Formats: sequence, C-alpha cells, structure tokens
Amino acid sequence: MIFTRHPLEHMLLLSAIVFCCGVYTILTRKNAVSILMGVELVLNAANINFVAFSQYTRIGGVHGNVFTIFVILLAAAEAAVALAIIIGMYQNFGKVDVDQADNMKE
Amino acid sequence: MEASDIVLNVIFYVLAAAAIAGAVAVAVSKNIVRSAFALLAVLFSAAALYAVMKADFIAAAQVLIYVGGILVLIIFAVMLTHRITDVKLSNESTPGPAAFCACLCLLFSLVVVILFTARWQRESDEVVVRSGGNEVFLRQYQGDGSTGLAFGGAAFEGSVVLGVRVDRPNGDVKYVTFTAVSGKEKPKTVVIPFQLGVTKGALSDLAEGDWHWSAVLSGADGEVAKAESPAARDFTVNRGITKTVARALAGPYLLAFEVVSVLLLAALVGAAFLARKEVRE
Amino acid sequence: MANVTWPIVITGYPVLDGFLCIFAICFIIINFIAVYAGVSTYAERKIAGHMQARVGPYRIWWHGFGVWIADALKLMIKEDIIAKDTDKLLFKLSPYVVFAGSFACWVALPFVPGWSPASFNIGILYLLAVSSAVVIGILMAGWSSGSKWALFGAMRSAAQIVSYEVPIGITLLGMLLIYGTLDMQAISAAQDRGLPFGLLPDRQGGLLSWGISRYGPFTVIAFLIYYIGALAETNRTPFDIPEAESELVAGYHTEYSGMRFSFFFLSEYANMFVVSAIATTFFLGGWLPPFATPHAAIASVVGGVGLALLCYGWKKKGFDATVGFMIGSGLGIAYSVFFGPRNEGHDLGFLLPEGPGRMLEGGFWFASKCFALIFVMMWLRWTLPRYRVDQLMDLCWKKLTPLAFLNLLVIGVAEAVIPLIKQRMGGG
Repeated sequence: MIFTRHPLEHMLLLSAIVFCCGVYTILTRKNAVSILMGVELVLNAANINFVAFSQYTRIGGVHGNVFTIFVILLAAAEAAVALAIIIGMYQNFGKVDVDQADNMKE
Repeated sequence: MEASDIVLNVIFYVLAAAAIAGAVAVAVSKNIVRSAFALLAVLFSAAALYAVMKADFIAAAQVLIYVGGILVLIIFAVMLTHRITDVKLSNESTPGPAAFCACLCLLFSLVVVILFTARWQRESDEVVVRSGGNEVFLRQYQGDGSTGLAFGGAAFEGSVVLGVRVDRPNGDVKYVTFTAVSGKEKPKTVVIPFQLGVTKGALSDLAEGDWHWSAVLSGADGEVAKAESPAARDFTVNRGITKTVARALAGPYLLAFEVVSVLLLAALVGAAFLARKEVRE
Repeated sequence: MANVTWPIVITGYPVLDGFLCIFAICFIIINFIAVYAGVSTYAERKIAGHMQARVGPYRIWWHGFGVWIADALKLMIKEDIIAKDTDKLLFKLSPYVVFAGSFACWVALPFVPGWSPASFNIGILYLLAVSSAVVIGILMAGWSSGSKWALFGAMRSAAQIVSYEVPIGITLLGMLLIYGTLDMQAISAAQDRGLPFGLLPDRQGGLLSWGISRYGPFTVIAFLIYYIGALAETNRTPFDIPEAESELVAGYHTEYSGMRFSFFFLSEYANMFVVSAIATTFFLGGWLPPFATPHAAIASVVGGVGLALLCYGWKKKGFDATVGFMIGSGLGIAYSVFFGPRNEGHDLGFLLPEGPGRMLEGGFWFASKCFALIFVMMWLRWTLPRYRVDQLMDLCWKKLTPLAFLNLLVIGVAEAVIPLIKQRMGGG
C-alpha cells in the first residue's frame, strides 16, 4: 500500500486524521482562540479531501478545486469576524476562557 | 519502482508526518503560542500536498490567504488577549475520556469507509466507434494511466494515455497508431503493437491547448479501421490548473464569486466595527 | 506519474543525481546571497558616506572594501547569547523561518532568458505566497525574545508588511491584466514588443515596450505604488520604524546576536533583491535589453552622450548631465523605434548570439536593473525622514490602496476597450 499506487486513499486517510485532531481541539480546549485553531484544522482537512477527489478521480470533474478556493475565502472571512468577537470578549470579560464567559446565565 | 515514484512517495510521507505532528501539537500543546506555530506547519504541509496533487494555484492561494492572513490574525489575537508579561502562555484543556473516545470512534468510522467500503475509482467511459467491420472502444486516461480523464476533461502536465479495446478484430491487425492533433501544434503520433483486448499508448510533451485524437488499426495489408474520437471526447492540456479554475470562476461559479466578495466586504466592515475600542464616558 | 528521466548524470542513480543538482543550485544561490548581502552593506555605507559629504569606510583594503569581510567574520565569531526569559525553541527557529521565506523567493526569479532555478506556472503568486513566511518568522522572533520592545517591534513590522501587501498585490494585478500570464519568464518575454497604449503591437520597442511605458502615466503610477510598497515590505526607510535605533533599539531582532542576527540581516538584503527583481520583471523588462536592434543601441548612446554634453555645457542654468544622458538615450531609442530598421523578432534585441553568451547578457541586464533599484533604495534611506506608525498606516490604507484600485480600473478598462476601438477603426 504505497502512496503512488493508491494516492486517493492516502490523502483521505491523512485528512481524516487531521479532521479528528481538529475535532478533539474543539471539544477539549478552553481558550477561544484555540477552538478557532481547531476549526481551521477541520476546514483544512475538508479542503484536502476536495482537492484529492478533484485531482485523482473524475467524481465532480474539476469543480472540487473551485470549492476549495471558496472554502479558503470563507474561512478567512469567518476567522476575521471570530477574532473580532474574541477581542470584544477580552475587552468585556478580561479573559477569553469560554467556560467562564457565562454572564447571560443569570 | 521508478525514481520519480520514490521521490514522490518520500515527499508525501514526510509532508504527511509534518501535517499530523502539527495537528497533534495544536490539539495537545500546553503553550498556546506553540499551538499557533504548529498550525503553521499544518497549513504549509497542506499547501505542499496540494502541490503534490498538481493543484498549484490552490497551493499558492492557501499559503497566501491562510498563512499570510489568517495565521497572522490568529497570532495577533493570541498576543492581544493575554497579559504581555507571560512568556509561557498556558493553554488549559479539559481532556476527558469522552472527547478522546468520541474522536477515536470518528477516526475509526472514517478509516473503515475510506479503506473498505467505498470504491472510489471508476474507469472513464468508453466510446464505441464502428469502422471497417470492427467495434473499437476508445478510452482516455491521465498521464500515469491511473485514472480516467474526466468527461471532456483536462490532462495535466502534457501527458495522456490513450487506449483502444478491440475484442474481435475483423482482419489482420498488427499495429495501433494513436494520433493527437491540435490546431496550433504538429500532430503527435505513437505506434503500439496491437494486443487483443486493451491496447494503450502514451503521448507526452503535448503543448497547451485542445487536442483531438484518433486511433488507426493497421496490419500487413494496410489500414483496417480508423476510429476518430467524437468531439465530446477531445481533451485539453493544461499546465497547472489556473486556467481551469479561472474558467470555472468566470463561468458556472460567477454568482458565487460575486456573493463571496460581498460577504468578504461585510466581514471586513463587521470585524472592524466589532474590534473597535469603545470610548467609555 | 510519468517517468521523468533526469537529464544530468553524476552518479548512476537518478534520485541521487536529482538531489545533487538541486543541492548544487541552492548552494550557488545561497553563496550569491551571502556575498551580495555583504557587499551590499559595504555599498550602503559607502553611498551613505558620499551622499553625506564624507568618505565612509576607508581603512581596510582599498577604500574600505574589506569592511564587509571583517563584519561578516565578526558576526560569525560573536558569543551566542540567549536570554533567560525566552522561548528557546521558537527563539532558535525564527531566524531560519525568516531566511527560508526570503530564500524560497529566489528560486522563482527569472535571472536569465529561458531558465529559472525553478520554473513555475504560477510564478508571481508563489512569490507573494512564500513572502508570508517572513511575517510569521518576524512574529515568532519578536514573541520568543521575551522582551516588550521586541514584541512591539515585531507586531508593528508584521502589521506594516501585511498592510502594504495590499497595494502591492493590486498594482501587480493591474500589470497581470496586461501580460495575461503568471509565469515570470513569459512576463519578461512579453515586454519585447508593443508600443504604449496598444499601438503597433508587433513593433519591438525596446525601452518603449517595457511594462512601465505600456499605458502612459498609469503604469508609471503603478510602478511608484509598487516601489513604495516594496520599501515598506523590506522595512527600509522611510518605513523602518520596526528597526530604527532611536525607536525600539532594534525591533524584533534586538535580542539576537552573532550568527542568528546575521540570518535576519541576510534575509533583509535578500528581500530587497527579491522585491527589486519583481519590479524589474513586471515594469522594467526583466532580462531584456533597453534597445531592440544594434541601430537602437547606437542611437541611444549617441543621443544620450549628445544630450549629456549639452546639459554639461548649460550646467550653470541648472541642467544635470546624468538626467540629460537618460533622457537622450530614451529619445534615441524612440527615434530608432519609429524611423530605424525593424528586428522582426530575431534575437530579441540581444547583442550576443543564442547560447550561454545570450544567457550571460540577459543575466547582466537583469542584475543591472535590480542593482539600480537597490541603489535607489539606499539613496532614499539617507534622503527621507522616517514615517510615524500612524502616518505609515494612513499612507497605505487611505492613499495608496484607493490609488491602486483606481489604477487597476483604468488599466482594465484600457485593456478591454482599446482592442475594440482598433477593431472598429480597422474594420469600419
């Protein structure tokens, strides 16, 4: 099972591992910026999937590449807004711990 | 095992190791700045993997936008949301068994799907052409022979493998001549000894452009059959995917492109507004 | 994977041969960067001296030429100090990240006609992309130094570089509309023919076909915006807030000493060459000579010398001979383009025939244009005062970026409309 014989399966496995690391980061971290980093890992894993399918099979034609471009752009927009919210959170709460940002509870 | 195969394998495994090590470091590291720089390793490895998959434009776009934009933003946010005097910024996590087992189950199910249940490769469609009493099935492959060319699709890096399948030849067939013709370049030809069943011939070093191809079955008595590929099976040679992506973005995806630009503008204005310094009276 | 046979055989094994060739090319490039950066420091100090009416370095060897060797040796043998509060791994890693970002740009530059160390379809996009590694390295350096001033310097520098990438990208985008390709070698070759404003697209115009003269004042504005952005990208004066001595000691590389500091140093000079090389490729014709035929060469020399002598004679009235020479050469080339013999596409204007001679000549033209731009960067350093950080950001976002967008609009409209006008006039 060498890469050049089964390129698609190798890329999919790699992206699955990175995806699971991203999900683990989102689930366990307390710092909001760390959670954002986990989201970026998930998005990158999905991108690797898109490009692998587009380049190694004919499923979807060449449009997987275009989807990847859009995902990258939207990740940029989402990261900008999320980081602005995190900075606002820091200004209001003094810390970016998501467990302690529960002011609306009471 | 050819030299280029060895190099490609080594490159892939090194990049995959870097990506996985970076992803694990992001998930597990106790220092948030170290996780941010491990994310750098993951992003660069992903870009290099896109380059390995011959998606050069996406590799450059990934580095430009993700590393040059998003990662810089993340690092700025890390530095702006902590007191400046801590060097070792702690990044606590609550690693319970639940999260770990959930991720393991997810990984397991994905691996099972990838390796055992799904059949990802499909051969490209054959087209049958009848000539000289022969039924000739035509098919195209990518340059490495591994995958079928997408319908009317693109061959990258100027090499393509053409194939004919003849099960019952009518007449004495000794050679198959594959010819590819493009409007701007000289025709490229390759002659392959005929094999019952599938005969494949490789053409390389094709220039960019649209190519039309045909296969001529010939024997001792001259030409037996000639099969021209229909227009729908002509292929385009691209160096890199920039032209393909550009045509898609200006064609079927034009509305999505415009909507994303408006969305980016809205995100820009929104982020600038959200992160403003409140002037408290 | 199509089997690519490696054309050069050193040992018998293709993989080893491939790696040896890549290693040899990178070895040559790194040595060139090191020598160029060293001599560049000497040149900077000499130019600074003469512009400030003093001699600069003078004592070591002839007119101080040995100063850069002495400096390099001193940096190499200095004690390697790592402060206590630093993040050791990132501290040691960041000079290499910064240098890797600058060095990776060098392999895509079109030094000679027909050959780059690595040829890309996406040349300029790759260059813009790997320059981002420099920003990350700077942030890494500033953070891991464990000092407030280093951190401030790093954040300011990163903000400055990232902001000025916007006008640079937009101006290059405008020029890409003209060339239609991302490949650096193709862009250099495309500046061989075509006169300003799309007239006579098959005439070889030498100087008049370069990128900077394609659309009159708009491409000149594009060049100026690009050059100002390039000054900010490489932290040169007037944008050297992050490394100014009177501001932040030395900014993000305050805590670095000896060999580690020399990596930052090398990378700054390497970056200067890269941005000059991109400006040369896009605006000044890359490796093309400024004349298209020997007739044009002679006409340019005659015109230049003639006008220079005229200006020298009128020196009292304030005419400068150097400027006279340049204007005279341009006039000579314009005369030859319109009234002289045509080249019909042979020889691209080179004086030497095909082969290694032509590659050397192309490399000579490319290097001279780059070094001229670097000389202007050094000249500006000792001419202009420093911008304050808010003035710098104001200049970028409120002045250069709208101007760059306007420029892009005009060039795009011109590219779309001028062929239509020509069709209308030619057909109707």
